[in-house]
Amino acid sequence: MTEIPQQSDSDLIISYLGGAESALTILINRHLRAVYNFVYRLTYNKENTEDIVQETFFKVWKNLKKFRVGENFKTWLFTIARNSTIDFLRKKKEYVFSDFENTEGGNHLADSLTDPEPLPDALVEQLEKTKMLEELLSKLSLLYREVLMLRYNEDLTFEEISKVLGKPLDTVKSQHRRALIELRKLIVPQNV
Amino acid sequence: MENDTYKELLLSLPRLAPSEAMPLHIIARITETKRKESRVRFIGFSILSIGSLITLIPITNFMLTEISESEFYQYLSMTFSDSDTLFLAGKDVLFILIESVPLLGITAVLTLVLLFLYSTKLVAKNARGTFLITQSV
Repeated sequence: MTEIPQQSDSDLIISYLGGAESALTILINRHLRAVYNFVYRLTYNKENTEDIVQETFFKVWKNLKKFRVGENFKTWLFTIARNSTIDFLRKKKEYVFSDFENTEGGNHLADSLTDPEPLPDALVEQLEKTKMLEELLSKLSLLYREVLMLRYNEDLTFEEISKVLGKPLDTVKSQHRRALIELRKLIVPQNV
Repeated sequence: MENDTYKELLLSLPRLAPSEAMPLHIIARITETKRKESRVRFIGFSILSIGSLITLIPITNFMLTEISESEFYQYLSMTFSDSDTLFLAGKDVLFILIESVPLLGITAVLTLVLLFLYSTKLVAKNARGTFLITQSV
């Protein structure tokens, strides 16, 4: 299937709703890998990931008419992906309430957190070469993992992440800082 | 505040590829759902179409009876049989004709005709969706 160059997500949606069936396939192929990786790093289970990703795109199709053209499709897509993951894990009873919910309190915490120190380059290099990072990441709580994945792997802004998670901007920034602090705690004692 | 080493580290995570069949599975599920929805609408509108057609027969009979027994029919006959009267009292006859139109029967027939035509159109549309949906790759 040849993708029509430079057709935005909104254009593809308009085309699909206008009867161009192939536009949906293009849209799915464009975002499938990103959604797959995001969901996988929340569940670390390939089978669950496949089910959740399928469900995500099915819900996207079902609700395409409700999507407001001009809005950020990626933000909308990842909101559905995240919610689908929560629903799936909830049904399988594989998560507890606190895994995805912020128990930190109000915005006043954001200022009290200092930025984590940078990681030593040698350590970064070593982690990149081995599979240790994946293992360490899996030990982070879902709450921190999701913000890191959205920020660094999907390159979303904090405003966009705030929409995906349905949380205030300051809470997201605070969550991000805490995530880096927790990640550092996991990495540095390893000292590989 | 951004931290480049963390960014560099997290970006080094492998970008996993979903199975090649996954997009096909997604499209297949969507296609099957569309087919099921079309099937439900096809059956529903078929019933409506046949029902409206069957109901049209007695309703048309009712309308014809209503017309033949109404003053409307009598005045209409008079306009054709006695043109002098029509010429002399044209406006009055016209108003009487309008007032005595047997609306109930005519409205019922027209409604059923429209319902039949509309539901038949939707039957045809959903027949295409039910029987002819092809999977796009």
